Amino acid sequence: MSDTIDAAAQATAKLEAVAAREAAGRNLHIPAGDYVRLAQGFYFVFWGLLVTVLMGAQLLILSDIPLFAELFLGLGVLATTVGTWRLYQVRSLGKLWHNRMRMTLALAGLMVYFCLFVYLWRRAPDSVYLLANVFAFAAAGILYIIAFNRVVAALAATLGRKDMVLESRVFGTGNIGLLLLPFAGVVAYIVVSGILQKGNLLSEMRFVLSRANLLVIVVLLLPFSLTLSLAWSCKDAVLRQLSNLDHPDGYDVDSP
Amino acid sequence: MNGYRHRFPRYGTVGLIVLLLMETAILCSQTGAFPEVAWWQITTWATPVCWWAYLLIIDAWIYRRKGTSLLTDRRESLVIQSILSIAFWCVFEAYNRVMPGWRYIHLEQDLSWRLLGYAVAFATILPALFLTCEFLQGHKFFERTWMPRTRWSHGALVASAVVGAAFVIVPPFLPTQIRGYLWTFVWMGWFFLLEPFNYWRGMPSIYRDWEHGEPSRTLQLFAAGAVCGLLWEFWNMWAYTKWVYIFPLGQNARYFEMPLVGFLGFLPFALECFAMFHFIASFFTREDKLGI
Repeated sequence: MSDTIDAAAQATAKLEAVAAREAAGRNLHIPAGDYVRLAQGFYFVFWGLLVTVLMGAQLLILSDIPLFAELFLGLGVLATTVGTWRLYQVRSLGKLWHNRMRMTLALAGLMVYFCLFVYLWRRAPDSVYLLANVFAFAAAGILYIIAFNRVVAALAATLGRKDMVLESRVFGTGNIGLLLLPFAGVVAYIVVSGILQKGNLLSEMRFVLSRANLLVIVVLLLPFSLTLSLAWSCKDAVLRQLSNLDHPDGYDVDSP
Repeated sequence: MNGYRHRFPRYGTVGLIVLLLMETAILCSQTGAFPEVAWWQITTWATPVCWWAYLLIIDAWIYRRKGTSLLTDRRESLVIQSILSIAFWCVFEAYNRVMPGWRYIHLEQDLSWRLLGYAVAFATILPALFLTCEFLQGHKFFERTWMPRTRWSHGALVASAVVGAAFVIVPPFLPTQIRGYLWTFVWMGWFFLLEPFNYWRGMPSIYRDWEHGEPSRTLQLFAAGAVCGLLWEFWNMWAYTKWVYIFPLGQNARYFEMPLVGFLGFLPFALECFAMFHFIASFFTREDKLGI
């Protein structure tokens, strides 16, 4: 299993390296409109993810959250999806970017879909069906974060930013280690204990949620914040490229 | 010339045979014939089996009429419709957990079989509605209808989306005792919410039909909703594993298990499915994947 993952990771790294070499060897022909879409996309993803994570974590932990706070979760997810949609509209960054964006957009769509279940689950917390869908929402969110790191890696490779390629790989690995694997473990625990004890899945899920108070905050916020910083630095990098388009003779807009 | 120029495909005949066999099993279970046979074990699967048989029959009928159909030429569309059908119905099931609407009885005890049953049954909803609509179109039902043209200003479309969002979001927030009366809003809300986006994005849209003064597709979808609603309730009535309605409205006057007032929900439900399908499809293609 690990060999397969290693092989896939090596293949991905090779693709990114090829994209970086290609980008370094030629002038980038990215239309200004695509830079604008990239900047808008990263901006929306940054704020959308931030709101989604904050509200999502609170909704899982606290029971008496007012109505407007729940609606913020929906707004956060929608903003993330709009940002992802803007990024998906960028077609000049090559096949690697496009393939990864397609997967990321699909995951953003799943987040929107399952978000509705989170909001309904708050009205009927005893429903095992709704709670299972809340777990699916969490899974979609974690996979989205991982996919987003891969998108950033593709963009950084195209822009020739080796530092960002490295960061996105490290953060992506961190997301897998700190978010995906513990989450998969929790789901496996619920399923296995549900089968072995022939017990109620709902009580198992509730048990996990009740134990997750501090753990959720610590585990969630670190990988998410790393990814958010990546989104912000991507936006900055894109804006810098855009300003270079306006001033191709090397005029530095940041200088006084 | 009777309008039928193509052969009736074999899968249609298979569908007819399967449907007849299931109806026979239902008849035997209701009349107590052959008591040594556990008919309930067969009629547990009546809903998915009848509906898949219906899909085979009506698709074959469409092929016979038009020479093209979902199963012969657009199988990938059938797969997409079935997947979206499960996804959409899971949303309504989620509402059902919050607002009393219906509940299932005599479900399979084994969870994996039960989930399989859900999936196979839910997968038929969209294809059944759209194939029935295509069938009605093939027979030119409501083709010569007209209506005054509707002009859609930007403000009207935004208002539609806002009203739709309120219809789908607000009911679960209201007090428990009145939620059950609010299913009308859920059945219409997704249509009002998503149609403006389909209109703006150039997808097939009911609002655009109304703008052109063409109500035929709307009426065909209404009719498809009514036909499927009648069949849903008819086949459900005799099935062993079935649903019963628990919403607190018009429980005295019923059509099979369904209170008559609830039957009206099938009409906007068809429009809603149309809008939801094209909204999702618009993110992947600008082609009309339904062809209705």
